[in-house]
Amino acid sequence: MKVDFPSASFFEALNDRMAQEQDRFTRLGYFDTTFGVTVVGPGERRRNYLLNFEVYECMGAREIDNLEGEDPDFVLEADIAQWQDMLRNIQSNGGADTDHGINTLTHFGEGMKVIYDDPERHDKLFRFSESIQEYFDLAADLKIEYAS
Amino acid sequence: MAYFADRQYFDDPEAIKRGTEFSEGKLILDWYEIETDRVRCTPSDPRRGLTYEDCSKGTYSWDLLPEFVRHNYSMAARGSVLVPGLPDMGYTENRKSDIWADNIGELYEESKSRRWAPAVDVDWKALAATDFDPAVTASMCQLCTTLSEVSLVAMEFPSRWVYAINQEFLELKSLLCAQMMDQARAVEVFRKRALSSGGLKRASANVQQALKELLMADNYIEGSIGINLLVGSLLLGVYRVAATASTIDAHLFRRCQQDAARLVAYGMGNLAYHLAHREGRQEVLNEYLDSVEHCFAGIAGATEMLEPLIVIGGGGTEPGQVASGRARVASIYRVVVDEYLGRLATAGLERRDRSRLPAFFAAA
Repeated sequence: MKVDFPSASFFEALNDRMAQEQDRFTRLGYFDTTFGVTVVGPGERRRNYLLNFEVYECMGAREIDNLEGEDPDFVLEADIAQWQDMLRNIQSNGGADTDHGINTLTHFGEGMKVIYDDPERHDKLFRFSESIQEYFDLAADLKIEYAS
Repeated sequence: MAYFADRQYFDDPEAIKRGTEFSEGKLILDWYEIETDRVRCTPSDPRRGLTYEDCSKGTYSWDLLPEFVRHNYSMAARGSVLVPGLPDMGYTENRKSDIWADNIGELYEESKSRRWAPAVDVDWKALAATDFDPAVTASMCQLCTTLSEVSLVAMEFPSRWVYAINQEFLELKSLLCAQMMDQARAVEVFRKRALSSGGLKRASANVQQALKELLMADNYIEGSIGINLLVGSLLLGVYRVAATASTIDAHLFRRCQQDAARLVAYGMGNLAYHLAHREGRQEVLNEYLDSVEHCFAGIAGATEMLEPLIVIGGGGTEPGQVASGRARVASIYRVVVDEYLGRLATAGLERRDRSRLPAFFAAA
């Protein structure tokens, strides 16, 4: 079944994959963070998603109008072309290569911004960095319909 | 120096008498009705199992820890009944606001849950099959040689203090042991990463001099800021660059990043707790950081740290690669300094207009 990107169903599909890969995520350990994903489309239209991880699973992924009222630990924000490039790379390689991992995209170049208010909560990006990357890598075998 | 127990048990008449009674099946059972807080702690979340936080109940709670521990210098478990004759262990860290943080329980459980094993969690076979630029390979060997030195000190800081901390702060002592294990794992993985790719390179006098100054802080809170926040923040940046060397390295250094992030989280928690409970400490700690922040520059700017990062960050030693690597490392150093000062400010120590680090790295 195809899932649209961006959409809540895309993240729900990742969550299903995560549940199927429970052993893998249990081995990685507690994964306790709530973070936002913002996809900036044409005309600066933003689509926001709030992902709530707890212990070994994603408790929920929902699309919301505005992340500010949700108080996420941090927000990963990039334009739609960047997200699509990352996902296509994940699909080509079975996981992100070094140029398309969250680490490189967020810290080198302008590809992806990390937005946060509280440094302590921002550090959850580092405390759970392997789990976060592996979560996005679950897109490797999804059938994704990209918005144009 | 040796300590001798207050009696010789082989010759102690009371012990001999009790031994005889036990052999005859006569039990004293005077411990049985001891009046301690009766609790039945259960997991608040079955997925996590029974955590330290679940056990922080009633008189066993860490919330009841006094600011000054005066009643127990022995190894008695917190909440047990103290009896005459308990040895004084000579603990010197007995003040809660010097050492405590509100996230200790959380970090300890997280540390155990997110443990990993370099021997099997790094795909050494795939790493061996990866086609690296020879300069990147050599740089990784040098970087891992240097990171071994840094990690060793991150391991030695908690080991230097853990014995001195009163046993009443048992969750903190447990966390410090977990940090030792985390950093022992870092020492292990950097050694293995280097030895799997050609071997170690050169020790760094600059890095070691700077680390020793931080390690030898006069007191715990200063050492905690120096190692956990200053060095920890730098490590989070260094690992970000190192993770770009290959997909295997991305996995490896993300794991290292997770471990270092817990050092940073405890350092922030420790500083925040300290400042929240101690008036007038901002200036003292600001003066301390005025004197030791040069160590950050000493470590980050050491040839054995900086050059391999530049080569790895740029992918080689061709002029364009070096330029790209320099830009990448300079950028990450500036980010790291900004993050470090932001962490201090959030914990209650504002020094963004005082620290020499931003100007130093802006010029880089």
